[in-house]
Amino acid sequence: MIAVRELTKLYGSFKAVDSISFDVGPGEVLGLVGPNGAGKTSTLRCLAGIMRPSRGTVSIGRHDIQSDPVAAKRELAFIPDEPHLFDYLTVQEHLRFIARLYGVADAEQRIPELLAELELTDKLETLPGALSRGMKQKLAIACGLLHNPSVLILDEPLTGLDPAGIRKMRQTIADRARAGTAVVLSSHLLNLVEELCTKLFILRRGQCVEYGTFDEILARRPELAGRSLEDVFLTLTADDDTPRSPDRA
Amino acid sequence: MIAAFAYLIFNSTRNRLLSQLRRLRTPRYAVGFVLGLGYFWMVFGRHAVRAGARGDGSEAAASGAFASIAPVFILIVIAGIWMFGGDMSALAFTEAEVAMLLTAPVSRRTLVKYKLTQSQVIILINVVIWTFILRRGSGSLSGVLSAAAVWVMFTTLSLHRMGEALHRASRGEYRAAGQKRKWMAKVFAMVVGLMIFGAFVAVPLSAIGAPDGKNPLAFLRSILLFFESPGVRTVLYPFHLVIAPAFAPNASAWAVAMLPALGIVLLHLWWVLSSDAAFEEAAALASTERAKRIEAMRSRRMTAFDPETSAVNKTIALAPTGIPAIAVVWKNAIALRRTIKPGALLRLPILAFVVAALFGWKSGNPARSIAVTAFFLAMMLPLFGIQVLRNDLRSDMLHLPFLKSLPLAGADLVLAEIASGAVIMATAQFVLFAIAGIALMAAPGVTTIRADMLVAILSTLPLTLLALDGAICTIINGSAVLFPAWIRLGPSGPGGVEVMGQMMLSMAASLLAFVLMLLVPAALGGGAWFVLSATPGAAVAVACVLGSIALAAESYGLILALGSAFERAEPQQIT
Repeated sequence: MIAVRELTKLYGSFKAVDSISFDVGPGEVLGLVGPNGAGKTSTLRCLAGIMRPSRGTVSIGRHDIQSDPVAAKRELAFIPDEPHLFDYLTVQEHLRFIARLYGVADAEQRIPELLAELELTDKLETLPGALSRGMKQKLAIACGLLHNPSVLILDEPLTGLDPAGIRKMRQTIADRARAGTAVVLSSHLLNLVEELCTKLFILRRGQCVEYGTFDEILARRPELAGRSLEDVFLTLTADDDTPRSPDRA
Repeated sequence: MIAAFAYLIFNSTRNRLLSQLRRLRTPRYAVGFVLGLGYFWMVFGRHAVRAGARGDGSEAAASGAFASIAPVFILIVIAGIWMFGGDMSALAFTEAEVAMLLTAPVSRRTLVKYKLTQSQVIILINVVIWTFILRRGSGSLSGVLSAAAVWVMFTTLSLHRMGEALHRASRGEYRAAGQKRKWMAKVFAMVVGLMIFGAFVAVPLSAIGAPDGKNPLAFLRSILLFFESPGVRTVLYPFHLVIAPAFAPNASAWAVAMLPALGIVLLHLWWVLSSDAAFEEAAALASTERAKRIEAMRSRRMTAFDPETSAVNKTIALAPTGIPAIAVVWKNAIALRRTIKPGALLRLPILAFVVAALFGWKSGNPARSIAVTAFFLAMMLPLFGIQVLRNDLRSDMLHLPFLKSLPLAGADLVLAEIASGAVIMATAQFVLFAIAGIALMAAPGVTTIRADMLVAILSTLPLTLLALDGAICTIINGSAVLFPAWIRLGPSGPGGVEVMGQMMLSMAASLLAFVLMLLVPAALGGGAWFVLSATPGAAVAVACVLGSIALAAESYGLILALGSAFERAEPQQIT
């Protein structure tokens, strides 16, 4: 579903992402982890077609995100850590807007279901300005899920959610993956990554440090056997805690 | 504690100035700064120098008139404070101040002193500007004396605002204070009512001259004489005391006027410092109000729209399937409905038509005045309408990551954003031109338009307006896509002289681009007119259609290019 080859992203002379490659198949959940400034957001934005790769290719389904962006984007949903909502559209109008953009023919049926699933039913006519941070995030998630994407890209999806919302979101991601959606998930919550992800991609300074299942990584790094994901992560990304410029690389 | 507050005020002011200076290292701000300074020089500086050199007394006469009107302005400002009591910004703290100062071990009086000291920063900036303006007509008073006089005026107003805000805050605690405020409001309402009645009703209406009369502004002199009459001067005496130093003709008169003015400042200071109100609660409330007001102002909204309390007006239907880009037009239409109140938008044109009708009635041809006004408004609409209707890429570029993740081709999205503004502007312009046309036909002494010309104009006007407004919106949206760093994106942005200059620069560039876009369509239209001039109706129709098609084709070519540019745009370019 997702095929990334030699993806490189440059900001001027600064290399935010350095020639990374990975695949995510249907039903797989890839955990993209790394310290601040490792290049996670840049990678996700290239995957979602928000930024153009400086080199390399990204395919979503059978479509190249650069040469056939509209078809590729129709198959994916990108849910950022900071919800981008329009100030003057209500919760319901946001979903109608998305429905039209993606041509969701059964929107009338899907919208109430999604709103109920994300506990937004009583906020139908509410504008984003009157929603809490968590509610806004739920609305962004609802917008992402409305068209049943076959590829789901999530950047810190649990930010701002309450405990019930976190549980629901974990369940939603797991359910989508079980239904065959390819998921790429970036998060600093390593317990979430450990619980949901079938594969890991550890980034440091824009480069791949490790890629594979947890067992595959441990097999390549026997010295890390028996240690928690947190220990593995800290060991593999040591000496790289300072953010790099430009912002949010 | 005072030292800590002084430290906060001093460093905040210094850092703000330094950050503005640092911004000048960016070429767009540096060029803007030079242009902004040039503008100020053209508007104020050049005239000030000329006035000093000329010394013909005309500026002094204007200053005398201003001295008569100024007490009335101050009366209106203070009356507004007491009557409406809506402005609590005198107590407003920033979010950081609420979090850090209201929770700190600081007495109410110290917080009031902090607000007073902080308000002096703004007052001093205003003093510099107003001293410069007022000295244009008062060359005999030195700059320092003028500045001190202006300072007295602004400080009195600032203290009065804070005093009233503190009294209002105490209304919940002390019923008597609340009653006192109501009593004050009634007194002020009566005085203002008398002034309005005297100036605009008691002054004979016959003094209002027609615009083409020998002295069209005679009524203004009558109003000035009313304000100078002994009875009115007595009522306005306290306000005359406040402004007297600023209009003193020489240093000795200034010194004499300054004593009572300073006395009024001290009285206000005593009043503010002695009030024992629920300052913290009032300040927190005022801070919330201020945040909403600033947000509304920055959004260029016609109303203080509050998403928490404002009722969401009816939505517009949108089918879930069909051309996807229509969703963008739909979104922008809803945003427009919720941000602009038709009443507020129509206020200015209605006022213009009323004034036109009044002056037209005096000159015996109201229809002609209305036609001229409608024509003028229609011509000016693209210039000002484009600033009000920001429901396009100038707002949406801030949502670039979201927009770029949507399954829409760049050109489709750009076209939808342009159409959102162009259709509305063209419709409004068509209505105004229609009003102008109807009024012109009703006006006596106007040559009747030939039927074929009328048909030609009416049938091609919508297309022509759509092409023209489409081209304007293409340029404006194009600048948002191609030069996002050079224009103001979204509702808010940094302020300052350099930003104003930057806006002037982008306006000039847009105007140049529009003129260039018009060259080919104008040549085609002109050619058609020349060839078909024997049949004027057909000539107008063909010229307009050809010109419009050419302009639309140019715009479409640009939209395709802008679509590609949008697809290449990256979030980090939006600063």
